Amino acid sequence: MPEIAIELDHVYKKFDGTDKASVEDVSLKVEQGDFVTVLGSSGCGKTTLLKLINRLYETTSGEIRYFGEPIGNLNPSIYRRKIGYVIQQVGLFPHRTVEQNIATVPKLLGWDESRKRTRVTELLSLVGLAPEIYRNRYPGKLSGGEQQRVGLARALAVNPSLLLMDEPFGAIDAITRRELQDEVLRIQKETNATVIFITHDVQEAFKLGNHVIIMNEGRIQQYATPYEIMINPANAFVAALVNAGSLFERLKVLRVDGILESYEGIPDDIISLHAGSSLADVLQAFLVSNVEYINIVDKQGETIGRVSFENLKQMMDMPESYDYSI
Amino acid sequence: MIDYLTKHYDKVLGLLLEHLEIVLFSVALSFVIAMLLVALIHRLKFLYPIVINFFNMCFSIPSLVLFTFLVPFSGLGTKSAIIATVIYNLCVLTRNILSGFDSVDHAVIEAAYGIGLTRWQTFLSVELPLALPIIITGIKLAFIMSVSLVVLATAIGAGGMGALLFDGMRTQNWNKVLIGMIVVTVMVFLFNMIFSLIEKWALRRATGQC
Ligand SMILES: Nc1ncnc2c1ncn2[C@@H]1O[C@H](COP(=O)(O)OP(=O)(O)OP(=O)(O)O)[C@@H](O)[C@H]1O
Ligand SMILES: [Mg+2]
Repeated sequence: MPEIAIELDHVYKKFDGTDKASVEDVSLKVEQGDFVTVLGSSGCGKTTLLKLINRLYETTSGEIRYFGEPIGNLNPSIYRRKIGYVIQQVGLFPHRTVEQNIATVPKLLGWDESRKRTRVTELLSLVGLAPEIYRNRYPGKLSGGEQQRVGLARALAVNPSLLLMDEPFGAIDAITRRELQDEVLRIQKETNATVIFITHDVQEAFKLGNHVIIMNEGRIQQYATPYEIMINPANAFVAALVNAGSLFERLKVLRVDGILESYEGIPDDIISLHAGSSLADVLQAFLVSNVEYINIVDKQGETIGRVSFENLKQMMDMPESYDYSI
Repeated sequence: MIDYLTKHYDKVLGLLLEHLEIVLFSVALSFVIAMLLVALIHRLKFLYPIVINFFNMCFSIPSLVLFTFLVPFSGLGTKSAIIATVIYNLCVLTRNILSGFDSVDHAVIEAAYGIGLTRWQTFLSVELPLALPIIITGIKLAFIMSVSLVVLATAIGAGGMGALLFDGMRTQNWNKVLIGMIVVTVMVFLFNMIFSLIEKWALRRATGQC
């Protein structure tokens, strides 16, 4: 059993001067090493939830526990240094170089110069920026995507066991965004950090999260795997938000690794797709080729299973009575 | 004029030093008070418009009127001069310090807290350096303004270069007037130059250009 990294126990947050709680009776557990995305429309309390976890806000009632320890018992600054935090607007220090930005927490922890330098080099490579080109630059001279990468590196500086990300790629073009998403997935696998990632993009939430939390008006509507949410939306709100009834949405957001038929032995089909591919990619592969199975491989190119067209149909789980008329 | 200067060299220098002393003292005092006020406003937000409006009102009072207004309370002399100068400086300094801190991007402060800087660490290593350019502009204006205010303060018997100037005018000793004018102008010019340089440095630092 993996440990519980973060647990919320009937958490409420009501700001002074407002008449409705921004976060209402939220209870949830996030396992160590899990990647949880939080999805919801604007103003539903996603940022508030994250800031409560980071103790930038104190709960009105209820308790939050970090590896079993109520965070109210911890010194806020020391606790926050163990948690990586990436905000939407990045918030890099404009008067500090990329290197100084990334080394902010290591410096607070009193690391010596050479250790800081090595770590910055490591992190810049990790987020896909050439260390020698970028380390002495100032944030003002970076593109939005590069700033996001530096923000991510800064959050990862002391190997946090928990990484909180608040719509980190909101203001980034689609291509760079996909690149950064892949980057985050890879980093999460490498570091095995627990990630809570806020977004209001359904596709992003489903691509990144092993679990997805759907919020509305301060309450959790559903907390489940992407597959579960698509196939069994908990209520009308969830169904509408993720457009669960739409075949195309399902194809777009569901990942093929959810429907793998395990397969040992030498694959005889030439078509291989990556485990992170969407079902739309799979369908397309079936449509353009005449194969019975499609081979699914991991990052290293190792076969991890295969899918048939039948698997795909089952996975889509469309109701018998689906109305195909226009 | 050169004759006068060589003869009364020590007198002019004495007045100049006295002038500088009053200016430095009032700017330093007003800076400390302004910082305390800003810290107070930071805690008690409702004071913000009250303080700003009060100082705007003070700022619109002609200096000679303010000087004479203070005489019944703090008497003739340097004390009243300092009080009046401090009041004017406070307008400029409080406003600039406030807008300096306001100009700091909130996301940057939030990020600082979020990754684990304490209040003081955030203030010293993030807010202050980023607010500094506008604060320095305020200090520059305060110095320039104080130099001329202290000249006028001669009217209520304060020392400094004003004594030389007004004395020269009264006795129609144009040497005195000319020397007074030149010294005051050079003083303002130097303050302006020095602080413009510091201002530039602070701005380059805050925007990451050095
Ligand atoms: N500091 C605050 N003081 C008062 N009300 C607040 C504060 N922060 C958030 N709120 C309110 O709480 C609610 C939830 O805000 P929150 O920022 O958590 O939403 P969000 O889900 O992150 O939205 P978005 O997707 O637009 O970022 C909103 O109604 C907002 O007005
Ligand atoms: Mg938000």
